[in-house]
Amino acid sequence: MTRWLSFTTTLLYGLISVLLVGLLLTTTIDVVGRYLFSQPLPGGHAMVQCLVSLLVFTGLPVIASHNEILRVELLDASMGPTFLSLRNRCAQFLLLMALIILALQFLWQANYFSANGEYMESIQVPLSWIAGYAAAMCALAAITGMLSRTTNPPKEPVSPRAPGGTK
Amino acid sequence: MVFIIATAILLLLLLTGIPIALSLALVGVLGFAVERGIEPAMIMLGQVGLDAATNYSFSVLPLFILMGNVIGRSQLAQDMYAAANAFLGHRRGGLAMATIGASGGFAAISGSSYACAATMTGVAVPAMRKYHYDPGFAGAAVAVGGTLGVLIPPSIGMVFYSLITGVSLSKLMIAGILPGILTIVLYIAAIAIVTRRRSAYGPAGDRSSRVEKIQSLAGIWPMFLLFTLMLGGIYAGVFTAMEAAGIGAFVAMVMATLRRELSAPILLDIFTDTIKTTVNLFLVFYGALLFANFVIISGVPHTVADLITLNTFSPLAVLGIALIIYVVLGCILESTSLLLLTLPIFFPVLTGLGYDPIWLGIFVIVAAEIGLITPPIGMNVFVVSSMLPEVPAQKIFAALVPFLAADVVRVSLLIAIPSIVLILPGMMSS
Repeated sequence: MTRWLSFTTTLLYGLISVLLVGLLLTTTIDVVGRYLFSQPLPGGHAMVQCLVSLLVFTGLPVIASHNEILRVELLDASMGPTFLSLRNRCAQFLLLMALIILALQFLWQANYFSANGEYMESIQVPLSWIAGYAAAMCALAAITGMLSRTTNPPKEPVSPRAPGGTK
Repeated sequence: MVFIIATAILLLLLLTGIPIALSLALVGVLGFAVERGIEPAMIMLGQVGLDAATNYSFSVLPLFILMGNVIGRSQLAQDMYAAANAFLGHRRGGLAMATIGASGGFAAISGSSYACAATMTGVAVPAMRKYHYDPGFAGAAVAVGGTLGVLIPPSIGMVFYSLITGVSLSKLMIAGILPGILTIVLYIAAIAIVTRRRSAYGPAGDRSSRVEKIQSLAGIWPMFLLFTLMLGGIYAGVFTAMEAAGIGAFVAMVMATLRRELSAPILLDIFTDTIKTTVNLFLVFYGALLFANFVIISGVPHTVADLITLNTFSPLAVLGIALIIYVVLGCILESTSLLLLTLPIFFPVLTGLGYDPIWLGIFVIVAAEIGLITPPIGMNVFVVSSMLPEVPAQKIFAALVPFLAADVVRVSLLIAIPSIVLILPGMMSS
């Protein structure tokens, strides 16, 4: 199980790196082409939109597996271990539910786009692909989040770095 | 009534440490479901997520974060501090002044207050220790210097203000330049006044020779190049902010490669940090959009506007109330979450009272930034204190008083002379 999780996150890191470099190059080529050669990258804007959406959804399972989601730490220092443990379990449960609901909603959106034949203009990428990818990544985030908690449960109580602010 | 209960639940969830994005989304979707029904709420959940992810303006974010991460791993912060120190270090409090100057320079290529404070703690505090600066005062200088990260463009706070309100990001970035310079000048003046009265707070350092001063400038040309390229391009109307982000990130990568500061493991580390920050900010943005939809259908901005009209509050009084709310909430939330949470209510109300949307953007960013250093829980202070365990946060807070006085002057100036914000965007090429 741990090996599968490790393999998946490595694969996702690789994919994220490719997407980031792709985003960087697409933007640069588009700008340089537009201003130096009066020839912008055909479909550059839509490619950027597409890459950014793939990037954020690919990153979801990564942060879910590392439990690195932004939260307020204000009261952590004054709360006991039982409260923190309960809070962490509640947060994990809510996150899991949210990811499952999101996956289902994106799947519904994918079917809707597919039925209506909606595309991203100028690069002809079906919107159903992006919605389907988002659904798959939300489902993967739910699985990696659950597995990482099972194989590597968080040490409790959490010792906050500071008595205030956000993590 | 639904909105008041929802806000109370939201604050409870936030304070108990439930992830910010999850708290916002949960309250937003449930509130929407109560007002309009479960099915529309579920459709909104999926639609808003895809719209947010495919928003072209959002692309600026991973690129600015990538640029900031590349610069953060380079020696540029040290080089900027060395240059500022060469020119100011011989004065009383000069090293603290150099910290503010270098923080301003670092802020000009990085969009985050925490990154700015954390980086400058490592760079500036050892030098101030060497010259026996008061530890609390040294920590305070770094903490206030860090707040420049969110004001001086490029700023992540500005990106989200633009995404939520539709105000031109390019104009916002240009509008941040003069208030940023004003802040640096006021903080340096505060240091000069404090060290004049209490010289033990910041003894004078060594004087640099003319040759040393010139040599120190050689290390900061990449910062000047990046800043000039991006903001010069935006100001002249050559680039949009989105394009500037792409070019900025690309040039930062090329420069770091030429300076031999990028290896494969460092690059992977940079990419990993970039995506973690981007996804977290995306999730907060997504949650805030869901919450904003609920705010809009619950009619809160109209209710607040009616309340103001009925009670004949002056626009200045309403702005004052907003300022207090931002400073208080700024102690708890980082600036992005704070802006995303509050703008759906404050933006329509305050622009309805006649405040310019660009001016308001800079004003709320300044207000949120003051919250980062306001006792009892100013976050920048804890970022610095966590890196300097021997300096208690209380000591830093005590030394922050002159800087908070400078902030009062700054806010008063911004209100009294809006041109400080509006003059540069007004002169921009269309």
